[in-house]
Amino acid sequence: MSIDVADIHYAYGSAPALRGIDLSIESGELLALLGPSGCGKTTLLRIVAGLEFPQRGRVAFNGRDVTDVSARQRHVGFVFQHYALFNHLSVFENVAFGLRVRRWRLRPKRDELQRKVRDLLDLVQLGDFAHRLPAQLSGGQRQRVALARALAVEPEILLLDEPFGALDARVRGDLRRWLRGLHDRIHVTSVFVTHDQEEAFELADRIAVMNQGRIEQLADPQTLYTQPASPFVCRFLGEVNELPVALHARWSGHDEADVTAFVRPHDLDFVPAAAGGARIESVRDLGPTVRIEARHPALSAPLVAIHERGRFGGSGLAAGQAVAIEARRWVLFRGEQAVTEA
Amino acid sequence: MRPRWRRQALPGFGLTFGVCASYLFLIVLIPLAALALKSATLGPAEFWNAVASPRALASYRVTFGCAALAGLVNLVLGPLLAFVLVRYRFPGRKLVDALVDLPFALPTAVAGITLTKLYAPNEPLGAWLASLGWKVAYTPSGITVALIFVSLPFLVRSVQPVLEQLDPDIEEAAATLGAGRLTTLWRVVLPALWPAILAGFALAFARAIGEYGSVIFIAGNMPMVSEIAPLLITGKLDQHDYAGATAIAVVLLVTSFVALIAINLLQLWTVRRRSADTR
Repeated sequence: MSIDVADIHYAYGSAPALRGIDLSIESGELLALLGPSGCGKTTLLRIVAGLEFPQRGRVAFNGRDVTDVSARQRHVGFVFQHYALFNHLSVFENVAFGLRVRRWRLRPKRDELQRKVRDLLDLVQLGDFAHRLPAQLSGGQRQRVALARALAVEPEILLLDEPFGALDARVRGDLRRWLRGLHDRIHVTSVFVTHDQEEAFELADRIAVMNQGRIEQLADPQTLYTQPASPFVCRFLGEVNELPVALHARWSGHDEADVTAFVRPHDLDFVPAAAGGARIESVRDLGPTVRIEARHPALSAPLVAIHERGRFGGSGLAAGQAVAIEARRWVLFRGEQAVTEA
Repeated sequence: MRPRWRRQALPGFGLTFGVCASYLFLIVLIPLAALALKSATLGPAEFWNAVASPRALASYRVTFGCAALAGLVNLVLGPLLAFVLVRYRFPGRKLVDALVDLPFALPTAVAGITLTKLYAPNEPLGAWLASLGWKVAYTPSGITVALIFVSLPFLVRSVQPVLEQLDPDIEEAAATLGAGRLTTLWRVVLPALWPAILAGFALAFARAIGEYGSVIFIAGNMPMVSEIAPLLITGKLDQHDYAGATAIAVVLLVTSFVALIAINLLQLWTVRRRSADTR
């Protein structure tokens, strides 16, 4: 089922949370809403679910306007950051809840309900935990119960609000790879909210990067990384060096000096040179990579390069050394505007 | 052999436990034991006569019946009031919240006189109700009204904090799963509140059994009809029948105690049942 969101405005009291959101999500897609806290991503998700109602704008499922339809009637699955399980009910009853509260005529028969819930519990690999209470499960298991519960009503849209936010790093990684596999099997249109760019990149088909109530850029991970639309997107997607550069006329037609080059740490090289200008401050071994920080007298922030272990081995870089800076790839911005080669 | 205490990280157990135990002994256990001893000065037959006289039996019916009825009324009204106070924002909410404690703060005699004044047959409200065929003052109805008044705070105050702590996400989750508002309240919110409601009911019931000051004014105190057991005790004391008074007191004590244990077991059972609730 496709989702169309048009011109959504939302304010908490006088504080605007969303300022004109347009977004089209294709049927079967897995889309991430990525942004810092307070950017409005959760509010947008809740508006799609029908848990909040926008002051302006429309929400449509498959072209059908659902803006004024309540969450109860929208038929979307919603997974909460803190699971929101019914603590007084067993895992089985949690998953069965959506089926048991159906109107009498639509309610599945006893055997069918049993079978459906069992299948779902097997799907989330919790078949042996049917009789447990939520309190007896780990965080990762609880979130899988929440997912099975949301899927029990066979929604055509699945919304997940920071689904891995409350889990520790290892469980988070396992669970998101598992979720990606699940999505590849059941193809339910899914939107998830996250502030973790790594998570968005690993899971999503497309990513909407949000900032201050607006979508800064909507693209697939590769485009987002190689052609960020704004300095904000570039900074948010990971550590980046910002170097003031002077553009030669062959780039934009005329010489200019107010341009910044954004260079990722792994695209930056330090080369030993007596008159390089920069000096290495620290070298930290991070295991698979080595992090090198250098300071240039003209820059306030230190420059960061990250080298793979193998490459670093032969470079002979050490703290105190004078080096020259070389960038292998970069993105240019003039103010907020991306600069492309003329 | 000296018992070996397990070492605890928190110091001061011996001292605090000692103080608590002595205090409990002096304030609770010794008086209760004295009560039992005094009543034991009666022979079995005398004891039976004192506690099972028609007048005493009628007073138990009034006391326990009205207390249970008041508890049941508050079982519905208390959580409802708590729900309104926690969930809705309206002008005067803080005032209503403070008013809930009024029955705690008010001297019970004041409450009794006020209620009597309100419901007496020669007052407007009392007269109107009497014209509808419902005499409130000087009947068990009046006693029940007084007991509802004094025991309401117990249910509100025991449910309120639990409701405040309840994660609003679970109600939203129920809504996205297709549950209507009433279904959500019944299947999601209420089960979470049950232990608190039962605890509040137990306190309200216990308080209502012992209530004296607010009841005697409105009760009319007609033997066999609207005479509560505590009043019967006072009456026997006035006639210097100390043993007879303590005998009835023992009945009240044992019944209250059994009722509290039963409610606690029920509470335990509602919590336990959750682990076995899978078909």
